Amino acid sequence: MNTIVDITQAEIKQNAISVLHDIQLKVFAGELLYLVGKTGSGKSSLLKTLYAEIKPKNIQGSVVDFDLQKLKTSEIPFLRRKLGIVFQDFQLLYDRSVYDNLLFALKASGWKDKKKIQQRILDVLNEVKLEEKGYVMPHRLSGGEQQRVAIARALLNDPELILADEPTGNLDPQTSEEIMRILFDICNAGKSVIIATHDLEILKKFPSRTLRCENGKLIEQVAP
Amino acid sequence: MSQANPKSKSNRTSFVSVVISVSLVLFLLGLLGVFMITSQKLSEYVKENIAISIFINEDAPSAEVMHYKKSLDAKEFVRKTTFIDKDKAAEVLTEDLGEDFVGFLGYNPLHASIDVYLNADYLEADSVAQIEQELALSEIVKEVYYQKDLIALVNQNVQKISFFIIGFAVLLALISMVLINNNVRLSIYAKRMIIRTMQLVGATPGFITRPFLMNGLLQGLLGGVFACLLLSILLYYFAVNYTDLFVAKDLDMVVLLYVALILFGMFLCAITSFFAVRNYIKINPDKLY
Repeated sequence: MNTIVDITQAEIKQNAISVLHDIQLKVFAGELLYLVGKTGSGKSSLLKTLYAEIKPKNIQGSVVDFDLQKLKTSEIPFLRRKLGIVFQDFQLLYDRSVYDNLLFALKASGWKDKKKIQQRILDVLNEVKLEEKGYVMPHRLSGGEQQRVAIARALLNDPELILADEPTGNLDPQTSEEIMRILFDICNAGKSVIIATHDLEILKKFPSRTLRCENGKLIEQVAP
Repeated sequence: MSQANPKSKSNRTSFVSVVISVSLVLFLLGLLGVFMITSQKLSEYVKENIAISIFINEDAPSAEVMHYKKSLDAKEFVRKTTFIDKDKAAEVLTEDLGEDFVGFLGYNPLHASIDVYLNADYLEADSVAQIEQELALSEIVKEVYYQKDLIALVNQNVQKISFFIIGFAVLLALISMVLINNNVRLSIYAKRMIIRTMQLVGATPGFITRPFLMNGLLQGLLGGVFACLLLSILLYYFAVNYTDLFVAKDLDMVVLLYVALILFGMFLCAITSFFAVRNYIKINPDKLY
């Protein structure tokens, strides 16, 4: 099975304090992995490490074929083009339409062909069922719709891995379920998804392999 | 690609406010430039109107005197020469004294003279002393006279004023850099989340920086052009109402000043944009909030 994330050794520190140590993590293609744990237990820090916002000194392993130990600063943008990142607070640009948000992301990641850009935007909007909302401003959308735009943006570069940091944290249970269903569908389509969450209801409705961040360690959680 | 949506009202406002600040700061710098050019021209004017008087021997033939005058005119350091014959000299002195001293004395004791006006660059104590020696070499010259103290005083004052103006210009340039820097940084601070989003979707630092740099160049260009327009209005007013204003007659210098202002504005806006964006590219994301 193709390995998308393969960390054999890592220690994540924040302000010189160890948050997670002895990290060993493998994620396979098409796998959905949950990261659970209390606030401050290191879930987000681990995700940040995977998209190279945090660069631990003593890390061994790779993400989408990028060796994190040897990763140069100039290579980070190219790593991120192979990832899709989704945040709890959506991080959309509220001064432009949904379509322009996606256009902006495509251009920023090096797309130039106008026809291909247009087609790609229509494809991802279709994937998150927002094909009618392309020219709506983000602030006119509901929280769930905004998160779907964020997921659409994450899908633009056809990434091998989606990293979602509390994607349902700002949403009501019904909308959370809609978002999870989209992420689950993405996973079923062959992409790997890592979701950091503390929403246990989600885990029950969409069960999958789960790792718990606890006492500075990453522990495999056995299904009840 | 624009880093911010140009249709957005807040982005337009931010752009316009930077342009206004830049143009006002450059206008102030331009005013100082005008002042500098004017004082430079004024000091040249004062220097070039100090004459060295060459008194001619009584027995010198007038043809030789005229030949000597012509040879003086051809010299590099001479701006112009004026020949004053005995009679004219007596006429001027009579007018100055208010008495007919020629009638009183029964003869005219004055000598014919040539007043030599030097180019401003040569009106330094050392150069004038050297020129004095050179002028005295001719056989038709009885005496060379000039006011050494006046030249020293003029040079001393010009130097003092120049130091003051240069000091003030440096101070104003520093203030303008700080003001423009703050304005540009503030406008880029407002777009820090856009920079963050660009980074997260895989934009390279060069791609992120480029539009901000272009924006900075445009703001500097527009700021410079508006500053020049304001200066032009002011100069036109002075040219119409104070026709002796030196700078208004010196179009070359004015054009040079305008070009310098525009280039300075573009350079400053671009460089501050560059460093501000680089700062947000490298910043710890936790500090963005």
